[in-house]
Amino acid sequence: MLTSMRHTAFQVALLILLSAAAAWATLRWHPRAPALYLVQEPLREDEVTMKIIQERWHDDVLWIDARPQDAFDAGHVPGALLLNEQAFEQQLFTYLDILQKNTKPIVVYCSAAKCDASRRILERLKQTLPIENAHVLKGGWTAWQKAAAK
Amino acid sequence: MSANRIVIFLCLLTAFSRAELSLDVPAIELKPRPEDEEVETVFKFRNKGKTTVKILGLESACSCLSAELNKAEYAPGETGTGHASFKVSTFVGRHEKFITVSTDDPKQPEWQVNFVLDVPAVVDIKPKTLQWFIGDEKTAKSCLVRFTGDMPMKVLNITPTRENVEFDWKEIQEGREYLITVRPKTTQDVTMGALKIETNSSIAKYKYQLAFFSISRKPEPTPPASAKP
Repeated sequence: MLTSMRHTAFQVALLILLSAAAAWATLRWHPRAPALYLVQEPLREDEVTMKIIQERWHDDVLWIDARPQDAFDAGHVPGALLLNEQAFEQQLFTYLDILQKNTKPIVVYCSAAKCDASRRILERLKQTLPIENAHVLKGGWTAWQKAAAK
Repeated sequence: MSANRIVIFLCLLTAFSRAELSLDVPAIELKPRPEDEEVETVFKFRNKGKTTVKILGLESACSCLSAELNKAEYAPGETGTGHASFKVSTFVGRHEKFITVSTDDPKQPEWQVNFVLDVPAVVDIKPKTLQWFIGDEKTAKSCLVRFTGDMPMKVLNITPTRENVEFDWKEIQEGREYLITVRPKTTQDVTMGALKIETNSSIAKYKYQLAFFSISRKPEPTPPASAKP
């Protein structure tokens, strides 16, 4: 019984080794070898990355934070305006002067890549006021923090 | 039993003995009354799998929604109870929110519990924004304020945030419909403003309503954000 199990384990190990060798050989010599990196999801039409913000606008944008109040209080992009679903109109009411005078690109962010609040807020903002040059930050607050840490 | 058979048996056991927390409905419906500040609900779920599931944590996608489960572990076939509360604040209409339950089950490491919040509208303003473009004729435009709740309401006062507009308002249907007409004094300057509409609502969050107006440049087609400038 024990000998048989050892034999099976040896076979499994051998199969794994052979598969790994075949994969390495494919990567090394195959003319169309797959690249070993995560494929970047393409940007959606309304999205910008931190790289775009830094290179194109030198970080000089009007930030809008679409997260809940408690997340905003815990930390936000300096100068960001809090505009979320919970109190959209009341908050927007207080920003009318800023938005009227604003000439900078607007970038809305929420928590991270999976959240959709920034897109919903941007859509609602555009429905309410004639906002131009406004975008969603891909990766949200997490992406901003990573860029700021560099 | 040979070693090969043991391996096959273990593989099959792993494949079929999955745990699964599940609701009996696709989403939990929450229907607060217009005056409710918070709405609470109790929901049932079941472990439909064949192994015990341990709850590692709960995370809500919205600070407005919080939930807790009655236990930390659920045996196969066991029914669990959850308690959720939603801060209604100024939400109006239908909103979909969810909480994510983290479990120790590798097949279901995250279980998403969906909630639908349906808050009846008490005030409906259409259009929400009156818009002119720079250089337009200074024509008057109107928005209709409708009080759609059980109780009629009255408009007490309207205050504009800009002096660049003239406005008046009249009651169309007593306690139900008001027509607000706005006319810009000039359409030469970019303007973003609002009309603060005071009502006699006994519910604090409906005491003040907002309608917006704007004068802006005619929009030009915007290139995609990812395109080079």
